[in-house]
Amino acid sequence: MKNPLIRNENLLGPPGLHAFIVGVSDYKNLPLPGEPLAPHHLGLRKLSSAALSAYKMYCWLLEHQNDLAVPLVSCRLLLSPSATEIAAAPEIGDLADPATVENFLVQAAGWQNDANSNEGDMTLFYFSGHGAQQSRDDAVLLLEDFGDGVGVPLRKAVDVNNIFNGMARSNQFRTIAQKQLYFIDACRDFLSAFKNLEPQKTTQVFQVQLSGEDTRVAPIFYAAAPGTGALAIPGQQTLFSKALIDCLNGDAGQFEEVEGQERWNISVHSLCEVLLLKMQELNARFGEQQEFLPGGWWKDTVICFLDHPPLVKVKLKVEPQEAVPCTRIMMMDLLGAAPAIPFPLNPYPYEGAWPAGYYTLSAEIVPPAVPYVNVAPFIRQIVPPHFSRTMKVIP
Amino acid sequence: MSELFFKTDFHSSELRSLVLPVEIRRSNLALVKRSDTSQSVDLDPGVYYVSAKLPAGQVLLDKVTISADAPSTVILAPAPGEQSPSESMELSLFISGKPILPLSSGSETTSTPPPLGPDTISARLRVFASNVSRTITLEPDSQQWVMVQQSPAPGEITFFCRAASPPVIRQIQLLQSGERPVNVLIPVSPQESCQLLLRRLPNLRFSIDMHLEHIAADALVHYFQQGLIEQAAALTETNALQAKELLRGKLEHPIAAAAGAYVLLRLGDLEKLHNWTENLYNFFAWLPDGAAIRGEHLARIGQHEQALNTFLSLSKRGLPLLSDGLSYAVSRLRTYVASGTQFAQTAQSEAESLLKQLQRLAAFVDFRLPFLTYSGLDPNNPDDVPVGEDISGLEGVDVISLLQH
Repeated sequence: MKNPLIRNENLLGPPGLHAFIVGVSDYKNLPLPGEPLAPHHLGLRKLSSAALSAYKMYCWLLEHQNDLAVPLVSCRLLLSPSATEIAAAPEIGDLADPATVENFLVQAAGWQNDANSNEGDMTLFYFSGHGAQQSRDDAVLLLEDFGDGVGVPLRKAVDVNNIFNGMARSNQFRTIAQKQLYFIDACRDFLSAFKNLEPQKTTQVFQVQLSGEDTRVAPIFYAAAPGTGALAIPGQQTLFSKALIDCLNGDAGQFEEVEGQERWNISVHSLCEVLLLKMQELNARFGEQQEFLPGGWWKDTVICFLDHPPLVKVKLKVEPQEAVPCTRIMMMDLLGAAPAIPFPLNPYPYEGAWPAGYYTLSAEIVPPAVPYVNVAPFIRQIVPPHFSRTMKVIP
Repeated sequence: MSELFFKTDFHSSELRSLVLPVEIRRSNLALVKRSDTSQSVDLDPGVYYVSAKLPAGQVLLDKVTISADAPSTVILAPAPGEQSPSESMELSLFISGKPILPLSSGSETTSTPPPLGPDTISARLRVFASNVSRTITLEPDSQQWVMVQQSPAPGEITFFCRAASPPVIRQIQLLQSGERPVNVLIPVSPQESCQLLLRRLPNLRFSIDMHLEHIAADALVHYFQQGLIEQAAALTETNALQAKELLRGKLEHPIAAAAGAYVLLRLGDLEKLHNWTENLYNFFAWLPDGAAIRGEHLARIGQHEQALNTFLSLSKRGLPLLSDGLSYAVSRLRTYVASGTQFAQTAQSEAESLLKQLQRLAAFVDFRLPFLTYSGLDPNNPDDVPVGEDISGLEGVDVISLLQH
């Protein structure tokens, strides 16, 4: 048993976080890129970055366990890494049990039991691999042994709907965590192959008990919108995983009062808002078109705290660009401190990282030159993840 | 303590009437209060920064100094360089946000599309209606139901979708050469119209956006679509989106009420739903969303048998107008079907049959879009087959000619 199960027994009881992280790249029955496909492969091949993405999420949790809204009590990890990923991060080669259906069922049961320690607990489920989103609230997740051609096609798959409903409060799990975060870093490229299939052919993870009122905080963060693929930086991590970890590291930071104390934190709502922006930013950088779609139930709750105010990426431009040599841009915070902005802007556009806050912006034409005009001072709120402004110096 | 009032400054009366959620912060960014522009707040003397985020993401910001015992008013307006050039463009600029190409991936840039030329892709728009047997048929005269309005900006076309009295579920179909036909359900009721906004993108295809007549509900839908959940949650607190305003007034707004109820379900705010969902379900028997919303609400409060029966009424009412309705129906029916023997045999087999139909449709739905959007030339049989390059033989309004004039 290689599963690096973290289980802080001494922390069981008071509210804590229980994580279950799964990453599948090396689908044993699927071909590599370029190899021939069989009909039961449904057009799918091995992946290159899913297991490494899951591992990065696992590392983030371990590194930030003291910053979480509730302490990390348990963390389960299943990984099926590709050879490329093992080459990039040799430590994952022998770190965790593979993400087979059998292992998934065993670890899910343990996760559910641990999450039943205290209803003030929080859970985190992260899956990266092949998937198929069936609605805004449901997706099929394919595990390592998928595609063996034995039995029904989804025998080696589980569905989010079953996991989500199985994690509801029930007679058997009366004190199950009432804050549950789901991150599904998958896609639904192959769903059209299933369009005529009967429902419920996946392996059931939990015996769902239809029970009483369900008031959980239970957002589902889907990496890929229906009809799109979850994209990756090969051998590194998926775009969604990069966006998510950037957000958790501060890009989704907000300054709010939490239990009587003003603190920088990441909440479910701030994460949702900024993940969308981050995905757009990464799409632009890598020339991709991946999206994030919120599903599940979205009451707000704090996920983690930041130990220092995050820096905001600032980008400044001038319109028209011909006016750059004679445009002096000034920014000043409320205490009169001014970040050093070169005049003229060189390199152009200006890019910097400033502390979040309110700033007064203005632009002056030096020396005055027709037809350009000064821009009168105005206030802007500069908050994570980034601030971009084009100073228009032409009427 | 002194009172602070809010005003917004837009060109159009429509936007000026929109109540916006506001945040009041101190100079160190610490949040002092959340409120909305329709009500005043009491503040201690001092300097504050008041901001409101629009559904498309722009931030209106102003600084205000509160002095003792003197009321103040803060005016929230788009920043210099972010104002709308005209009244007619405000809706697309401040509410729509980035255009989304339906049934495709990613959102598009808002850069200007290339001029019309010989390589311009043909596009046609037509209208279908559901009859009592839930069969969807082509309306002979599309322009009776969707009327073109003055173009708000180059590359954009707005259609006015008239209210449907008596209520009939209609949908538009957008055909573009070589692309999958896009079907979008039209969110209108006997007393609510809507606007359809087509925007021509740099890749020459059109994005589709619907705007509800009820501006607060429209903003709510777009806030949620843009991931601005905090703002959506704040908007559900405003008077404009309370059930008594939407369902019991002289002017009923069942579509706006449905949009509000879906957001409350997403927020898990079951207390606020109270008997809202029951009224929506009972008062508007023609509205499929009433069944999806009521069914999901009943399921959340643990009344699963009633929930299943309510979801089953979708087989008579038809497809929900909002994609959340389909999503809830599919997810719940999957759970109920899998639960086996917990329900009466007839309900169980009806559930299986309905789930099969809905699941088949769900495979072709774009769940990013708030209003139900799916592909297929025959709206009764969704698929992902593109139409040919030559669509001149297909009926419908020639969209490109509307762009030219």
